[in-house]
Amino acid sequence: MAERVLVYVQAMPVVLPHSIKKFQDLGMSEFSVSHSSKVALSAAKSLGFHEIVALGFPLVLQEALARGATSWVSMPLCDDPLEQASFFPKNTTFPIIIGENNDWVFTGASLAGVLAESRACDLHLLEKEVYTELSDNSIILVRDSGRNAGNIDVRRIKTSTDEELNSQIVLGNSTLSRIEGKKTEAISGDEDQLVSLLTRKLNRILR
Amino acid sequence: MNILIVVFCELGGKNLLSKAREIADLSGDRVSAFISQDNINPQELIYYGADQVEVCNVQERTDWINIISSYLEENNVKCALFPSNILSNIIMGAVYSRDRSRIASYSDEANLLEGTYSSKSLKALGVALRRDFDSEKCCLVSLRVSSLPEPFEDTSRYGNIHPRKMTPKTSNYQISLQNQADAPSLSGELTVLIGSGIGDRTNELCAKLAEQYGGKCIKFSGSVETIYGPCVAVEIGNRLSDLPVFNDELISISSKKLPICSVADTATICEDIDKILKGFLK
Repeated sequence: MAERVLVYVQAMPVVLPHSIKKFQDLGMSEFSVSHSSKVALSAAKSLGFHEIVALGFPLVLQEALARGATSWVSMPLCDDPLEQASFFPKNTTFPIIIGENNDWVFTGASLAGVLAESRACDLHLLEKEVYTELSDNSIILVRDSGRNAGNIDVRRIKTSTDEELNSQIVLGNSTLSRIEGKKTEAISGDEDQLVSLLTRKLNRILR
Repeated sequence: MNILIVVFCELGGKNLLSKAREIADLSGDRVSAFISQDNINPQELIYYGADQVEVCNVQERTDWINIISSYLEENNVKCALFPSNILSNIIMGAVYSRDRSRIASYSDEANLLEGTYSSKSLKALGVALRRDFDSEKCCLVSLRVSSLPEPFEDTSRYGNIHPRKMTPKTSNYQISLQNQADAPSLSGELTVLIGSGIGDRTNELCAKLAEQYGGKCIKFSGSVETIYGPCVAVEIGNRLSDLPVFNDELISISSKKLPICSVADTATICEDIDKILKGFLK
C-alpha cells in the first residue's frame, strides 16, 4: 500500500454574507470542513497512511491539519467539479480519497467521476465501516453515514496554526439566492387521514 | 439536425422522461432515452415520453461513459438528464471530463429544471444555486427524482426503438462498489430517526417502516450529526441546537408539540403513534 494519500477537503460555508448573489460572494464567508470530508480524513487515518495530504480551500486547511492531515496543498474553491479537479496535483499516483459531499454545490461522486476519467484511475466506492487496502493510482469515494466523524486533535492545533496558508480564491459563475423562509406543514385529522396523507408524501419523496 | 434531450433511463432515470417531454413539447425538441439491453421494457419509455429509445449493449458501468460521450459527439444534444444517485453522478462526471468542449454547464442533484436553467437547493445553507444553460452547447443535469411529479404514461404515444450496435471503446479503468446490491439506491435513502424514550413496539414498527422503504432505522444520539436523505423523525424531543443537520425533507411524528416540529417540512401530532406507523406498513 502507498505511504501517502491525498484527501480532498471540501470547504463548507458556515455563515453566509447577507447580500449573497453570486458564487464568488462566498469568498466573504466563514468556512469549516464539510462533514463528508471529516469522514474522508478519518478514513485516511484508519487506513494507516503515514502521510495524509489535505487538498482544499485555504480557510479549512488548518482544521484539516488538526484533524489528522500531515501536509496540505491549497486550491481555489470552485463551483464546477471539472475546474476543481484541474487544481489537483498532476503526475502523482497516490490514492485520492473524496467524501460524498451531498450538501455541496457538486457532489463528491461527480468529482470522483471527473478525476477517474481524467486520470484513468480505478474508482472504488467504500462504506465507512469496511475499509480495505488501497492500491496506488485509485480514487476512493467514501460514503458518509452522517454519524460522528471524529473530533479535532487538540495536540495538533499549535502545529496547524503555525502553517501559513495562501489567500483565498473563489471561482465560478453560478448564481445564488436565499431560499425563502420555510413554513412547516402541520397535518391534522383522524389517524386514517394522517396515514393516507403521510404515505402519499413518503411515496412521492422516495419514488 | 434535430435538437435532442437525452435521458439516462437506468438507475431510476425513467422517472425523468415526463419532465424531458414537458420541456420538449415547449421547445419542439426530441427526447431520446437510453437503457441497457437487459433492463426495462423499451416500449414503456415511449409511453412515458421518449421519441426514440436507444437499447445499448452494456457490459461494464464504464461502457455508459463511452456510449453517452459518443452520442453527444454525433448528435446535436441540448441537454442530457440523469437521475441523481452516486453511480449516475460518477458517470455524468466522467462524461463531462471527456467532452468538456461540447458541454456548457454541469449540475448535479438539481431539484428544478426549466428550459433555460437548473437549480439546486442547498437546504442546510438556506440558498439555491442556479446554473443558466448555453443555447449553443449541451448541459448535463442530474435531477432528484423526488422533486418531479409522478410520471404520466400515455399508451397512445408512438416512437422508435433502436438497438445501439456500437462497440464501446474500452475504458482503461473500472468503477467498483463494495456492495453491489446497493447500486440503484445509493443516494437519498430514507432514515427513520427514533427518539430515546420510545418503547420496544414502536421501535420495531419504525424498523419495519425503514425496511419497507429500503432505508435505515437509527436511534437518535449525539453521534448522529447530519442526515442527507429524507427523514421520518419519530418522537425526537431534543432541543433545536442538539438536532442533526437535515439536508432533505423532514417529516416529524410525535405525540406532543416538540421543538423539531418548528423545523420539519411536515409535522403531525397524534396520540397513538403506533397506529400511524402500522398504517404505513399496510
